[in-house]
Amino acid sequence: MLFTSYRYGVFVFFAFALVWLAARYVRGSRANTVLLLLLSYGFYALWDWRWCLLLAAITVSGYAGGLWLDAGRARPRQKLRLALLVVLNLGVLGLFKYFAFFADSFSALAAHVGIHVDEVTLGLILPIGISYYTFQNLSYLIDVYRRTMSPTRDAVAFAGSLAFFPQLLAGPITRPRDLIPQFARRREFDAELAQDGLRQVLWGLVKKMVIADNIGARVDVVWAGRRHANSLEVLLAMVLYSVQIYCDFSGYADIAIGTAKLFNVRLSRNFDYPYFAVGIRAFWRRWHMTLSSWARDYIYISLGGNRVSRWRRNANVMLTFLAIGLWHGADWTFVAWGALHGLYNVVETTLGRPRANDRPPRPMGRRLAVSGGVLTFAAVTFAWVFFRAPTLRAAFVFLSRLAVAPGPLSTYRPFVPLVLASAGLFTYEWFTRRWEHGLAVGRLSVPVRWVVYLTACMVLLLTGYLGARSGIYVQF
Amino acid sequence: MTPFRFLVRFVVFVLVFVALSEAWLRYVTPASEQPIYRQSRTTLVYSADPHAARSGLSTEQRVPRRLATWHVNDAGWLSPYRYVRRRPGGALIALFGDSYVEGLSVAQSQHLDVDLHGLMGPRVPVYAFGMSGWYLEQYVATARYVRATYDPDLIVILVGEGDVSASVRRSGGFPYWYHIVPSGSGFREVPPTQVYAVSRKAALAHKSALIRYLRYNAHAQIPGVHGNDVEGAPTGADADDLGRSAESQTPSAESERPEVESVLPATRFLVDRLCADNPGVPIVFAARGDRYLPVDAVNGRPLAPEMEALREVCAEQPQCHFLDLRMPFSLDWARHHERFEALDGAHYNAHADAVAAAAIAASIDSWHLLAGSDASSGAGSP
Repeated sequence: MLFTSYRYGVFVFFAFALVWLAARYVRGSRANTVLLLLLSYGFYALWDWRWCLLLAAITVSGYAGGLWLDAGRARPRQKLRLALLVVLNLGVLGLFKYFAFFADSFSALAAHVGIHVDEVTLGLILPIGISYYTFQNLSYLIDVYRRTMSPTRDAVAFAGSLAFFPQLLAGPITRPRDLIPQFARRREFDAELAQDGLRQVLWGLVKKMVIADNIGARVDVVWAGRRHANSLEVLLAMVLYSVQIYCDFSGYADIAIGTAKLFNVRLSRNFDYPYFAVGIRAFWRRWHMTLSSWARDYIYISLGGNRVSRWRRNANVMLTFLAIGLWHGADWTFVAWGALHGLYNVVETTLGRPRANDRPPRPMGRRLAVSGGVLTFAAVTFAWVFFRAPTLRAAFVFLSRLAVAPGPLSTYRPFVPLVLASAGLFTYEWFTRRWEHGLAVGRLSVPVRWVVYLTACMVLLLTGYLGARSGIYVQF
Repeated sequence: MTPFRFLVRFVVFVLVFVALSEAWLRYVTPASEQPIYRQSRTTLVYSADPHAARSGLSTEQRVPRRLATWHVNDAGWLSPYRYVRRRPGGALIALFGDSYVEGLSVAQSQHLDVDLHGLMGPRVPVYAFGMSGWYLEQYVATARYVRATYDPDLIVILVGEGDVSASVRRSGGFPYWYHIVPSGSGFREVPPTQVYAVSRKAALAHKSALIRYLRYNAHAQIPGVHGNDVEGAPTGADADDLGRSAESQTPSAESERPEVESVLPATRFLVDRLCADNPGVPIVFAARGDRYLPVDAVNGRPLAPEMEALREVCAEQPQCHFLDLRMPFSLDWARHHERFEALDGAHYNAHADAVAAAAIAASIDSWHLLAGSDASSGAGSP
């Protein structure tokens, strides 16, 4: 059930009604939280009921693991227990997500040196959302180990926070220390928050269905005919894909965060206008913020972070970005994408002084800041080629077409509305960049707000892609 | 505010939005209208319902743009002519096809049948029997009804790759249309097992501009509402797309031979059947040119396997003629550089209809296919 399908709207409508009816009429303060947990499992079961068993197993490992970690008072014993739990969680993730990749790579490598190895495949289907809830679970276990949070004894709150349906498919990877307390307390309806949630859902739908999905259809055409594409087509497809993936993922995140607000749950922000960033490190503070902060806290810092030699730090950066790349999928294209971003970071750290925020130093001036922003966007756009490509070979074929002379102007006509829409979106986002999301218009008068909502809905109806294209990040 | 009041306000907003979009799609950018279809219980012929809306406006694209106004004649076909049985000694051309012949994308005065009639002269009426989604089996079945009712002395069928492959590869499963199934070493024809009638719900939904917009302009799947047509119907367009993807790989004639062989038996069965049902009536299969651009690479490119199979079967039947429309389209493109696709990107525009009509008329003339009748042709050279 994709967020952009009407079924999701129907599901949320009835879930909303049931949860708040339960809050009002069922005795016991936790009834609606239990109901929300059941609805979340029901939502997951609509994809494939067997995945619920996996989610339940991960939940049990996290809940029991947290208590088990807390029970071991001696630090070395705790460390061993944490290692076991991390291996268990990563083992499950690896089995479902990476087994085929490593088996294929191993047999290809063996074949390269003349040894024939029979390929082993388990025929496992990758459960949607596994990367998100496994990382959330790991986050909880490591936090308990680090004593930055106490283990919860509230099984319903723990299970509810992990299975909460809006964040199940594509995040954000909200930390359990932020989420569990929201499920542990009595749920009250917050009308202001719910209204803002609906606005955010609408904004997410506009970004996803109007911008991302329409661009996606065109970018797919260029990629499918990449052997015959010319330089301008490739260039346009590269830039538009940058817009597509941003609108796709941030749109999905907005729908998730907005839906959560309907149930009085606040999920973490995942995007902060990343293409306005000056510098790669600044980009990663604004792009998929929950994953980048997760990788920083649980990989980079665990490896030693900044408090090591320069070479070691650079190696840590590379390892962290390779892990981020692999998190997206078991493919060399994601490894290449992660390696490129690691390299960008290393180069930026080596060439420039570390800064506390992503603002350019004063003497830099606006012109240099714009150049830096454009350079950052260009570097990120180049890396997206590897992210989008089905294989590394396809990526190089695609890039090689940059050397081909552009075709007649009339062939670019289908790109014009997409480029204009992208430019319009970024102009709008520039002026609303201090807002939490693009439709945070709660301060306006009711008639003006209704005009804004109705306009957004009409734009969605008349230009939105209604074929329910899956979100790019749902597959991860 | 309580959750209940919140929900009520949300529902009110949805209702206001539905009313606004209904008004918008009725008066500002009108949603597409399509004929209501019906199926005769006696002849099992599937056509537009002349007792429902007789005319309407077809539009295309998400921000709807006007394509054409259509009219349904007394017989239930989208044509400006009144269909009557051929007079003894007179001429009559029956033109069959799918949505290209139905022609919702082109003004009726520029339809293929109207163009062909204009070229053949006033004494040669051209009756169009076009239906969106039809393929070879439907032409064969409808031709029997047309022969019994109007007695044409020439049959022209505008075929695309999908029309043939939908017949021979995806037969069965759609209960309202004829299809063929393997039987022993050959095939047999299976008549419709159900008679289609538009449901009351679909007819009601058809009155809503918003639903028509979602269905015909946005091509969205609406739960429980299949508009006019029926879910699951195999269409020529599906297979046509498959044809295009195969075409983009520019295969050689040798590499496609197995494909041709695989579709030959069913194609032969259907063409034989058509000839047997219409003894003595010449049949022209006009294989559509590429509706997309460019068409300049046609020379030397082999026909798609389904078309090649049809060409080979036609060569076996003296009654049948195969006209490859790609060449006239290619020549026209080289001469005028005028595009052939309608606004919907999936059908002929008026120019393409004119090019196709000229090529068909010239072929009829040069093959002397109407020599037996007292009609005089005014067709030019292709």
